[in-house]
Amino acid sequence: MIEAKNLSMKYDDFFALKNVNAQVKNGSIFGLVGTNGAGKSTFLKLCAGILRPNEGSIEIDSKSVFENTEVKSEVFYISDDQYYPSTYTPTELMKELSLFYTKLNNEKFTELANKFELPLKRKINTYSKGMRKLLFMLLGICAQTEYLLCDETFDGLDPVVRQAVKSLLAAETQDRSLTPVIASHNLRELEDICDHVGLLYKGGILFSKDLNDLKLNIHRIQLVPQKGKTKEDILKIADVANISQRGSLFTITVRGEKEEIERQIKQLDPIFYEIIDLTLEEIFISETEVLGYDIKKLVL
Amino acid sequence: MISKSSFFKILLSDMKQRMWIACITALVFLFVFLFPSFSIISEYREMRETDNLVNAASIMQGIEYLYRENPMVAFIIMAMATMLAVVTFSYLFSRKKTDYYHCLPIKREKLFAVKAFNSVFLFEVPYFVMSILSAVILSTLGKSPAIFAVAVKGFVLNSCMFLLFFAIAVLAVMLTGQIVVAFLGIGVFYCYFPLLGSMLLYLQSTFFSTFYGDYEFSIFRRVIEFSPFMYYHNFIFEGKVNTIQGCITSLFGSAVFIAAACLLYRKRPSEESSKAIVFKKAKLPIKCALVPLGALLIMFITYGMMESVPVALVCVVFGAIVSHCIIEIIYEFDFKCIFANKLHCAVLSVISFVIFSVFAFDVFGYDKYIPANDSVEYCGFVNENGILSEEMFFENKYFLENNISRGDIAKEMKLKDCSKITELVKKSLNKPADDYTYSYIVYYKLKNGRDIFRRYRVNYSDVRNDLKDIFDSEEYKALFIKNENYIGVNYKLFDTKYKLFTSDESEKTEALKEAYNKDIKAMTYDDFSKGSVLFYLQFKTDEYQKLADEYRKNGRLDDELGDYNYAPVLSSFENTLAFLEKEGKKFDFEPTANDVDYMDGVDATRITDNEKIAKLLSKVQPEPNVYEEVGNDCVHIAAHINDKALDKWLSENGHSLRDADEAEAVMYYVINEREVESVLKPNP
Repeated sequence: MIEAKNLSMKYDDFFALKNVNAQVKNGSIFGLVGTNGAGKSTFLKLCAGILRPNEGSIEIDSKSVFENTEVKSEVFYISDDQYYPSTYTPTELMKELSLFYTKLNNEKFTELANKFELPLKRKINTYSKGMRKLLFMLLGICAQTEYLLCDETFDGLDPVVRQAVKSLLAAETQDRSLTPVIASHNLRELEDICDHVGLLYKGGILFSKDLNDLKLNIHRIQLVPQKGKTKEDILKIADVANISQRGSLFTITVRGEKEEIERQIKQLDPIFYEIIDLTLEEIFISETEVLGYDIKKLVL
Repeated sequence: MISKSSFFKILLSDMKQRMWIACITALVFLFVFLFPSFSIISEYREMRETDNLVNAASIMQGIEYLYRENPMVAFIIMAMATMLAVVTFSYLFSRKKTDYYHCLPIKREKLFAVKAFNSVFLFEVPYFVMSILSAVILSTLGKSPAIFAVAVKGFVLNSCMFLLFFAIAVLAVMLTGQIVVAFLGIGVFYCYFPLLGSMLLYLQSTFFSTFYGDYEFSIFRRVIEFSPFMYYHNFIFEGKVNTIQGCITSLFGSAVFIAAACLLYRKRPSEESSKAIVFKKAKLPIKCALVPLGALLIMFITYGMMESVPVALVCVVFGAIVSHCIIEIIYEFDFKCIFANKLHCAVLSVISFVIFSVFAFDVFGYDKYIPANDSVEYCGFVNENGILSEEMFFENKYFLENNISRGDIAKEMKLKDCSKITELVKKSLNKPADDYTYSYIVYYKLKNGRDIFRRYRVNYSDVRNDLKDIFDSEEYKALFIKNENYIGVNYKLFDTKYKLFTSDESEKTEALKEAYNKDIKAMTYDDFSKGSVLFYLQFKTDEYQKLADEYRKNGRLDDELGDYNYAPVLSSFENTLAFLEKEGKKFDFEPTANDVDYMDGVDATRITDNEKIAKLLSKVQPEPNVYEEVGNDCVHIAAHINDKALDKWLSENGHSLRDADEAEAVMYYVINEREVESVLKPNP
């Protein structure tokens, strides 16, 4: 488990992270979202042991990460603009990394690279941006570490490859309890892969929740009430987070359990109603509005 | 976790990646060692065929130059050490690369060790291989064990210096986060102390009127020499440092600097990569060290042109502000930060002002300082005015292997009675002379171990009696007594050196020594100051002779020991002259007009008229040792002796003839100005 306690990191006089408390449980895919400059990369670099926290601590499996080779050998970090020795081919890079990550599975890497049609004999500097991202993702997966830290890694991958990589991550998580932490400013990118999400804003975590819990606890309903029923009647439904009207069609976002919400709607005896799944973005809008923030200013 | 075997695999992997270092090094030394080796061989073979000048010693001299004192090797050592330090750790200048290396599961000190070791190894191995290869080629000249020994020794010494330069450069790299700033930092580490010491020495010599300017005795010498450049120069080229001591010192220095660099690397914050200085706490000390130096450098430039203290004071403050602004711009890489930290700027300007004022206004009383008699262990005194100085009489083994200065002589005198010298100094301080006619150097060895040197400038007439008191004291003259065991004597007449007595004539040598010592004891200050030198005697010790024989073999005798310890024989040295007359040698050459080609020295006029020369010769007197003895109305005049006349006199007076290529013989006189006028401008 990755655990940040009162974690603060400062660049000159600017706090990139301030008093962050967060936990990333093993075997789950953690999505870290936030605007540019929110502190996502800093958080990942702290997790990877690149940076030393100014205050607080960051621990992996209850051990400090900085300069701890035992812990770091279980963490693979992929930055948004990953460095690689310019003259290397993927195979050479893999061989070099295997000196540090002793569990790196060469055969699996070769197999996956072939599957994704990555030319292993070509120098990496001739690869496209997307190919390089894919290469590092494959190296990260094949390093067989417990934690995989990805900073904006899906940016630049084409939709097909993105989906394939997501499947790979999901499979690894399931098979060997890999814990990927994926930082992105794009909520839609994380929606169909993350189990858990944390929202960073101006160096602090606004919230960190299980995605299923989030999805189960908030619902969107489209309903057409009986004639004579007004907006006020609809607002009598407990914990309405948002309401909008187009003609006679009301769209409401309601917090609470699905059964209880359905019971209350039935009491209104509407002409028509339908419960729709919310996108992650919509859930975030709702959640952050509760905290007094305008989500559109925080993420896409 | 990185196991031992993995560590070596990482080491090998990094080595493979950086094999280019070995290739470049090999290529460079191919030009420095291998090609010159072939050229040395062909050159010596050619010389052997044409003449017999080439001997083993001169071959070894050339080979020693190739391996040890080769400026090209020195340049490569310094340049490669600097370049490798920067290139090896250049990943620290890029955040992307820093992140890559620092997220790997390897301790920073191990990564540091891998990178540093490979840089040194990949340089040293080809350097060694090329040295040995060239030694193999050169060994065809013969003397192969000696050639290999010189090659290995040169390699070891220069490698020690490479390590020192590399360690210092790495330390600078660890402090900086930009390649440009890293090079600047390395420059500062290499040159800071020589520059600072030179500036302080300049201030001392410019503003302290009693400052004795011999570099060897400057208190700032250690500051100036606290630099790898200076150490390299003294160790390899000057041979001032003993080989083993030099190696140990440079290895110890390298170890200290590399350990400091490793410690800094462990503490180095990754996020500060690409900033000028990565340790915020280092910024102020660096600024404090550089701003006053910058201020003094700017003062130095302007004072050299204006020579005005008020202007210099303004320049110091201006220099401090400019230096501070430049440093702030470099720190932030932002021109807008030019006036950041105004308080620092103000404080450092004041500090620079104070440093300059300490020298400009002699705040600590340097010029007026006279040590108390009871704090002095011993002292020395050397005059600077005469044609002769105490150094000519005074002999010491120390002079054999060093370029001696008058300060050295003063230091070696070790006079216990310093009261007369102190009296002279007090008088000199009470009567300072702007247009001085006489200067002398005083040395005090204090009981606390400090060496004090001063130079005083006075009017000769004001201190003549005090000088006489010092000179006529027994302790002082005892310094000039010849009391070694001598195996022979040479003499120098008209700049030509002759053998007088060889080792087979020890009795004569002993007798001459006694006669000479008698004359020394009888010599008064008047003899010394008013007298003139007839010729010089060299009493040779066994130690000198051995060294001279060795130098002669290498053709270095004239350069290294040519004028060693030729003691003057004055016209007042009756016993010496009488003894030599008995041996058939006379030295009182008094030329007539016919013996003189021409005379000159008066208004650059060349006088060739025989009649005028005769008149002048009748009125001249030999140039006295201390010119001030003859007064201001006298001028110098020189008689250029005709070669044939001189040869005749030499052969008649027991001397062998001079070589044909010797410079012409000149005799120096003084003459009253009015007498000259009466001869050159006869009454109408």
